[in-house]
Amino acid sequence: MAMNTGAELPGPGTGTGGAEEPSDDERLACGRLLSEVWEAREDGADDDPHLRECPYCSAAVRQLDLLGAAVREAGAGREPEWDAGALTERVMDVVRLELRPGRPLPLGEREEDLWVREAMAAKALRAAAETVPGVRAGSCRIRPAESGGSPARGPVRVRLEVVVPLTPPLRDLAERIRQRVHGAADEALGLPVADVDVHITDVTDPAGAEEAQGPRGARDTQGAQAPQGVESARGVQAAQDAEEGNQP
Amino acid sequence: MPGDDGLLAVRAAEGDEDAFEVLVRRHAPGLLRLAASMLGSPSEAEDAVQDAFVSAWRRLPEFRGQSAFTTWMHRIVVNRCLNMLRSRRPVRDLDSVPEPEAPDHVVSPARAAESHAAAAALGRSLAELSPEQRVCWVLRELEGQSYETIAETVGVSPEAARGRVFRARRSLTEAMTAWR
Amino acid sequence: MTAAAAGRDALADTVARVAADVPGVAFLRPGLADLFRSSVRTGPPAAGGRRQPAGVRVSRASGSGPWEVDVQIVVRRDHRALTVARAVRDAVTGALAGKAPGVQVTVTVANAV
Repeated sequence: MAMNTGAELPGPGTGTGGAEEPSDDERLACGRLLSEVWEAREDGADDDPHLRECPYCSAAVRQLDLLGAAVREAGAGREPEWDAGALTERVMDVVRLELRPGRPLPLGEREEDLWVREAMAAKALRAAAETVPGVRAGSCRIRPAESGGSPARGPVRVRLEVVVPLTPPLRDLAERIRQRVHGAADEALGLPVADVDVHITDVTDPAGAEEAQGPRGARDTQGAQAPQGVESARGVQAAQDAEEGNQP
Repeated sequence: MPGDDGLLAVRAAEGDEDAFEVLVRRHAPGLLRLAASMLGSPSEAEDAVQDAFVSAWRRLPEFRGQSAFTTWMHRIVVNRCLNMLRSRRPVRDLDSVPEPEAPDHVVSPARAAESHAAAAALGRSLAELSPEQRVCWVLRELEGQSYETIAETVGVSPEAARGRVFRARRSLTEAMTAWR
Repeated sequence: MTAAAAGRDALADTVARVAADVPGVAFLRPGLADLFRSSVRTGPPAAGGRRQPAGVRVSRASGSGPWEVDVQIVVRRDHRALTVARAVRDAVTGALAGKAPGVQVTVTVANAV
């Protein structure tokens, strides 16, 4: 090809105008910088007529395109069979030797010497929260409700963050979650709980949650109002927090 | 459920290893592909990604969700690959470059001999790039990331990232030209 | 191994055996790996022959004071954690009534499977 020598024309410093370019860049015979020509190509900003008409620039562009084609061809059908399952097992083998069980929390009466690890209790309480349809539980921190005594035997306070489907009134939903968590703390664990603070950190479109259809189907058409709904949900939570004196 | 990485990451940070397992299973395939592009070796890619996940489990309590979990994991994997590439002995002699068909997964068992040879040339010249150029080029060309994202991932300025990609492309285009 | 250490290890073995038999106990901590590691009691002894079973710690503040037993258990999910913990405490206390009267038993539920 006659004109594939764009890259072999006079090197840096000998182009027009004596303008500086980094030593690894290159000035084409027409005066354009190779890096700029390629950038224009990449950004799709090649409606500059010079790029189309100049033989040097077109050659440079063609080089880049050839490279792209070679990459795509080389990549076609490249996927080796990844055994992600085996890798996951190996990772989890190590993880299970380095668990973070968390602080010990009291089980039973004050005078007993029985404990449960925070991570395990949190798992049980999150699972309880998720028995409410569409609810996803996030952070679950469990702390002594009273100060003093180490480690404390008194009742605990649970702070749970959840993502819920947008089903007003959210206050009722939060209450359902609270009751499930209280129930599980007692029935599944035997953990004495003073308070359960439910913080709704986000809402999802109720049509996206796996729930029974019916009235919710109608809400689909109001999907465009979802952002507004989020605002009102947060407003509800803020009001709820204020009313119940939840800790920030 | 896609989109709940943040929830799972918070739970894993608090010690929920089952949540972490979901994250591993979900993101391993994509990260394996990325690591293999950078390292040119499926088995090294598995080591890199496995180590990255274990490191992530240990560091999750500090993570606190400032960025998306995938972004964070991505960064860990890329930097691990970068270190692995840097600790390889520099390749000077073409003969010492392993056959691209086997280790370099960018090369496919191509149909036409010509495209096969072109891909082989590409594979060889990729292996000759500096680790820094190779990593940035893979992130740009195969992952389609912006220079800002690449810069953040690798820990350089966007201009430096742009420069690395440019220099990589120059080396690669020169190799392709020479082959033709 | 000193006689005291041998005594302590024997107590620990008793505790581990008794605790693992309590209904609702899946196994003793620390990790799943120990469940499959057969060396807990039958493997080569560590230097000095000291070896306490996984999940059990037996100690004593002074040579004549009460023994303190710390048991970490993993329970089965369909059992109430408190119920199982109490049962372990009672079983261990009962089993050590002769050899270690006044033993103080602490039970921690580490996980559920």
